[in-house]
Amino acid sequence: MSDEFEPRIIAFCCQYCSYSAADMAGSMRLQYPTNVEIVLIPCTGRFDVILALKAFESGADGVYVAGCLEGNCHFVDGNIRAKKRVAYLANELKKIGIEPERIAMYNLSASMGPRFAEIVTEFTDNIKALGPSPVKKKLAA
Amino acid sequence: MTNKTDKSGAVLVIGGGIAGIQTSMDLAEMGYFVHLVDKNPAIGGRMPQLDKVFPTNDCSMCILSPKLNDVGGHINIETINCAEVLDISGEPGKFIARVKKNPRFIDGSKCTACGDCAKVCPVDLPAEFNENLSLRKATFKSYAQAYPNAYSLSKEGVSPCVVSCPANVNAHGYVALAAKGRYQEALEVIMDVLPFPATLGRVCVHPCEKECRRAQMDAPLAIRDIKRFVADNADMKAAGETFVKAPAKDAKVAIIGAGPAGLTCAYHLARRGIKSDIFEATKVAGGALRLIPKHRLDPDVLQKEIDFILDYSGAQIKYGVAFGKDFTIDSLFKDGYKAIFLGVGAHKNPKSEEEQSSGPATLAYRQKGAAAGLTWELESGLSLDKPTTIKVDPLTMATGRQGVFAAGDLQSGPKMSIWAIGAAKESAESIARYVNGEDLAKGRKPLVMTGQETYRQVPLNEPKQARANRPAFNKQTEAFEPGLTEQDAIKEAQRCISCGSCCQCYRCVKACLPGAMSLESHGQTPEIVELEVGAVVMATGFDTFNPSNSETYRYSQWPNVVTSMEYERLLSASGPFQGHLIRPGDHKEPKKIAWLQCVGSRDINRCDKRYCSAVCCMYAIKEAVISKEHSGDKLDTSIFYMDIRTYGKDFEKYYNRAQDAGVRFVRSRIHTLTPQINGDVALEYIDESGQRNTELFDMVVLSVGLTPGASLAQLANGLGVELNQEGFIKTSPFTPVSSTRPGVYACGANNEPKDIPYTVMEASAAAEAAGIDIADARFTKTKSRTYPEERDIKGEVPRIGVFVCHCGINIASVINVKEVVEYAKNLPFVELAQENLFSCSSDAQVKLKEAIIEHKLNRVVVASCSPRTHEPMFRETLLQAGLNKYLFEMANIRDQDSWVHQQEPERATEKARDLVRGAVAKAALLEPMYQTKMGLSHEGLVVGGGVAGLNSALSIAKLGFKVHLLEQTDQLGGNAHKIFSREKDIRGYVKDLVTEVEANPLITIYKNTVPKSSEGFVGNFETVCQGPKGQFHIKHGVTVLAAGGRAHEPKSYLYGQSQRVMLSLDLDEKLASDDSLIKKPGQTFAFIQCVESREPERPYCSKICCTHSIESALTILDRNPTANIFILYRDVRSYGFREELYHEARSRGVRFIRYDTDSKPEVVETSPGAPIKITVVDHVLKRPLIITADYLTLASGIDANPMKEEIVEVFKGQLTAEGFLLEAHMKLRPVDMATEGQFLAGLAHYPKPLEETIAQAKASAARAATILSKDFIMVGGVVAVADPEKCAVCCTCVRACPVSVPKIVRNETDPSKRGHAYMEPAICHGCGVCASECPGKAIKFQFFTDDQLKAKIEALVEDKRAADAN
Repeated sequence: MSDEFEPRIIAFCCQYCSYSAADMAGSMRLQYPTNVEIVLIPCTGRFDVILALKAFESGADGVYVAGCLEGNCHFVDGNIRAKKRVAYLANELKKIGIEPERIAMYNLSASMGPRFAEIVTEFTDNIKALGPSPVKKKLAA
Repeated sequence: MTNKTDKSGAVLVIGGGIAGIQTSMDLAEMGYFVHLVDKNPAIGGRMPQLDKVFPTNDCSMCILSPKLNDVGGHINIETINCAEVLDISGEPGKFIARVKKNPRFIDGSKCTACGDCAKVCPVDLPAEFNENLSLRKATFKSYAQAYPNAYSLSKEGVSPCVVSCPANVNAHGYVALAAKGRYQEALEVIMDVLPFPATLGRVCVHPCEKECRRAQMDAPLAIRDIKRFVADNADMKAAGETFVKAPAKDAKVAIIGAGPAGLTCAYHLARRGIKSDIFEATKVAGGALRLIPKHRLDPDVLQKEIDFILDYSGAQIKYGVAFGKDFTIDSLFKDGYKAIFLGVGAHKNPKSEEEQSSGPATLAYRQKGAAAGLTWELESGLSLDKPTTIKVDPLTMATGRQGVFAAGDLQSGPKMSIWAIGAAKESAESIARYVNGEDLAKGRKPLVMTGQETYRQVPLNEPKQARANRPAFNKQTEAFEPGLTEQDAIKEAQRCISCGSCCQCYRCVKACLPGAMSLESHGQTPEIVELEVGAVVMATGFDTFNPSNSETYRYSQWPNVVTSMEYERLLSASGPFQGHLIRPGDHKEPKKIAWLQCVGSRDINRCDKRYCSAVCCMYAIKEAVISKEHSGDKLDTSIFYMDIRTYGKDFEKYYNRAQDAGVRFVRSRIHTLTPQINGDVALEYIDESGQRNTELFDMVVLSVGLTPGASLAQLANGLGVELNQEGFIKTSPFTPVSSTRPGVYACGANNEPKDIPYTVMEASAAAEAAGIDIADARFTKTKSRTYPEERDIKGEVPRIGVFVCHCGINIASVINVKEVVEYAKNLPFVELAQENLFSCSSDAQVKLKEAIIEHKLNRVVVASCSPRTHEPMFRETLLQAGLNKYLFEMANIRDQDSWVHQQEPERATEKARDLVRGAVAKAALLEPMYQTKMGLSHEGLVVGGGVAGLNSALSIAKLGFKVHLLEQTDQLGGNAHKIFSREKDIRGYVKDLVTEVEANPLITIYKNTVPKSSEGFVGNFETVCQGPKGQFHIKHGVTVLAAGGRAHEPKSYLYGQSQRVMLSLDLDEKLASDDSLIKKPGQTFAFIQCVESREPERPYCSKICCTHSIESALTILDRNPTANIFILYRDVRSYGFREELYHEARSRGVRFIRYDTDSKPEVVETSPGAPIKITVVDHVLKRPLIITADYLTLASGIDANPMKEEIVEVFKGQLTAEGFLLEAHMKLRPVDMATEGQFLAGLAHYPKPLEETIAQAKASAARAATILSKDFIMVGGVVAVADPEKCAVCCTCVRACPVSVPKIVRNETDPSKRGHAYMEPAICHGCGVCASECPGKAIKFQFFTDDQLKAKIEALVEDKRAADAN
């Protein structure tokens, strides 16, 4: 394995859409980077800022939340609430000197397996470009 | 419950689309057992193919797939796929249905849907799921989320090339493999029968090619040349080694003659473990093959194959020994040979075809004859049936003498080697059986055409392709005739049209590790089973109109003209182009797309379809809108239509939004499509101004109509139900889901074209109808699961069992499973870590159960596939092992790891370790959770005494439950009393309905009564009502809201000012009372449609007005043929079969005049009481038209009854902006309110015709009965729980909950303390929003608690070095 920086990324996926899309990417055998590990939650409305903070504290370099398409949340507006929390957290991260791009919100439907693979690739590339999380460096120091 | 009846408590549901699914779920939840029969390998019907659904733009698959799993996992629904219902006999309550189960050719119970079979399958077939726009393999799963989650195999019979080969060499198999460049495997397929592939690849007379069906298109395949290419380019020895030889037997066989027959026999005997000696009269082996001219058959090629056979079989040839002279049959037996095979050449005179085909110059190759034939008979007791052949059993090749078998020219006369080889192969089988003392004939039958083959249609529309030719043979420069080049061989093989679909190469059998695909499964045959059922529901759906036969549309010749269903697949992310919008012809992104409406609908010129297909306007608008979303605003979309029929709930607003988004609507019927060289299509049309236009489009979508299913007529015949003149199932308005045969019900698009919400509504209605027939037999056929008592794990340290799955090679070929297992063993609290080949197999469940008990495991982690599909199954196993089912966690190392990181095994393994570590960390914190039983009231409350409320109440009562019916007036029947219909006696119907309701002992009617307040939740509501005698309480388990609607009273068009201007219901009153004024000769009647409808203030269509005005017009004409009738309309919305009335009205002279909202008709009263003067701009003449009408009827549509007070405030129901009830989900829950246990029906939901109101009311009863039927409700589980101590009563949760569950309640333990939030577990939907929003962290969301998720996250990202050090 090369010494290239391989970020650790946590993705919060809702059971209805994005987790399904991830499974679909699997059944379509779409290949994407190994950096993302998924935490299944019932709805992105369950996503909580403290969960993302826990991820960063534990050494994650990036976190994203993937919910249903806007307007299609199975619980009306869970994904909209998640979006707000993500925006809030991005702002807070910025305040403490962490790149806000390390947290993101995505929306996709259960049939969008290819989009899921695309998101993993896209987000991994983004985090690679940012380099290791400053939190991790701090903790290591 | 005991069976109080001899009726069956089971129901047969035919068709597994959304209708069948809904009916099945409702019936199963009501206490019936359901046999759900579907002709396809997966349930789901048409919905999975749709990209998005209107008007919600939901992803179709997303909203359907949870339902697929619900049906699939339901203990009281048996899905029977690949099956068709033949017929039924018996009476309502007790039918016997005969069901033909067609083979799946895969053992579905063993299939893990890993897809390894498809990976090796060489046969490409059009993927029906993608409307043939992409290819699939012969073994396939229609779509990723399919239920059953199993593959199936398309097999139409043995392909003709194989049947016609005398040796049954699997030509289809090796051609298919050769087409993929898999020559070695192709050779294996050939050599399964034929040990002379290169030789026969040169000289065979190929009877297979005579039968090749490709000839119907252009020319038969050059099968023999492909065989030669394969043989010349693959390794015989390696191929031979792939065959498993049977264990060596003691017996030895004498083979007489070293020709093709003798050598083939030796080869096949060797595979059966039997040795042989060959006796050859001449000095060389090869027999007649030696006589073929050298340039055609290189002797070295032949010799190589002979050498192979001798080497492979270990047979020795004794040369120069002649039969009859040097040895006899007796002497061979005496020498210890157990059996004798005669494979001797023919008499010298008759010529074989191989020789004949070589031309006159090569005559008389055969020097070696079987001239001794006659003497043999004398000597050995064999009988001859012709002068030079031996009589044998054609199946076993046994001669008259025991132990002696014969093939070759001697047996069959002078035929070809391929015949001799076939017979020799059969002889070898017989000899093996003979040696083993087995029956020679048992289970054997010659391969012949059965006539049952359903060979694939020859694709005559596809482009012709020339047959490949071998390069020309130059006698001067070449010694041997050349074979095909590789390029030609592959191209030639690709011409195969796969007649029998499956090519029987059996690569899948080798690839299938769980053994689901086997030689036995390949041999499955149809089976007919009988089912005893109490009722039958037909939910077989529709087909789409096939425009191939219509020249106008150019569909079959032009790839850029597609049907709307094809277009759905083009849009879909799971479609042929992964959702990239490109046109099929040249994969160019279209910039301009046209939709042509009414293709196969409202058309008796190009096709015989008079009716309107009811859904096409909406789906075309949806497709245009979604396309624009895909491609951005630059995409130009145009819809060519006759009338836009957006009559359903929220449809009109959708139409308006589409117009705002720039979708162009052109009112015109296209008369000519002209394809252009660059792939575009020119449309010629005449617009509204009469102008002739030609316009170019990149792509044209045909909005094809819905037709009766292809097999509906046959099914209807078998079930004994009548079809209507359009070929759909005949029903009647008052019994909209009843067929003509009692006990057989029908719902959805097999009754009439209809959209999904209406289909779902009817599906529930059909459940009600079927349920009522056998209400006494409820719970007589249902099953329930019983489990051992759960072990109390309180106080135990976690003891986690980790089970890592290989999934055959799906996981194990990428991830190092052993390493993951070893790793897991060292994780905290892990007691046991094991690997499974297939964790989902039934033996793995037994193993898991035993491990839980033996190792006292109190948490289980399975690392395999997706919890979406498999968690319920593993939880079930935990329950069987006496462990709480929530003590379980999965790590998805297949779908989200091995499958998506195939090229990175190391990192995939590392990720698998991470995922297992995360799952173990969460598992350690899992706690048992209990669902508790809660009792309920088995009575229903129905609000509203119109047709909807009456039907709902009556149906609930007929299903066996008490009902309270509230009516705010003193009269039951509502609006229906006022409607007059030409087609049906509505007033009589209502009268009878009221009488029946009043007479039903289970129904209590409360007139002049309104609800004042209501408390509680599903199963346990309590409502305070205000009646004439004061207030009273009703306890009820469910509520049906049927508050009704009323005619809109317009302010325009002189309504209320002139006696001659009236509403539709007023005209109905005149028609009902047989008003003599109607009959006055020469009178003029005018109708204005869409009065104050479809306008910004009331932006919806009332659905019924067009049909109603047309019906009224026809009634007037019936009574007064001299009447002049004008209908002023915007779009005529006589959807479905109502189109028939529109057609009749036009043909009888009713004049339809279109107006726009910007030029509405002007209505004036010239003098008080005088006829009305109506001025309207004629849309054809573009000039004002003046109509002097004696009567003007305003179709003003329907308003909802005001419900704010009674419904919204009392029952907390939601309303739409237009004041109608808001259902839980517009598409799939059209009868449910968002609050569990509340249902709706009738005009309060949306304007609808009577038959639809009746269907919805019946549906509401079925939905209600799914709750009332239960003895208790299970509550709890994955729900939110508030901690009273931590709750600060900030009400954040109350505001955040999407379904208004949290409430602030008193602190019961200490009333002196402040109250706290409380989430009733019975109604919590389990999204977890409140837990995340709660600022005080007072809410715990079970199974996804903060602690559990944090532990999981921490473990997932934990630095791997730290873990390694552990």
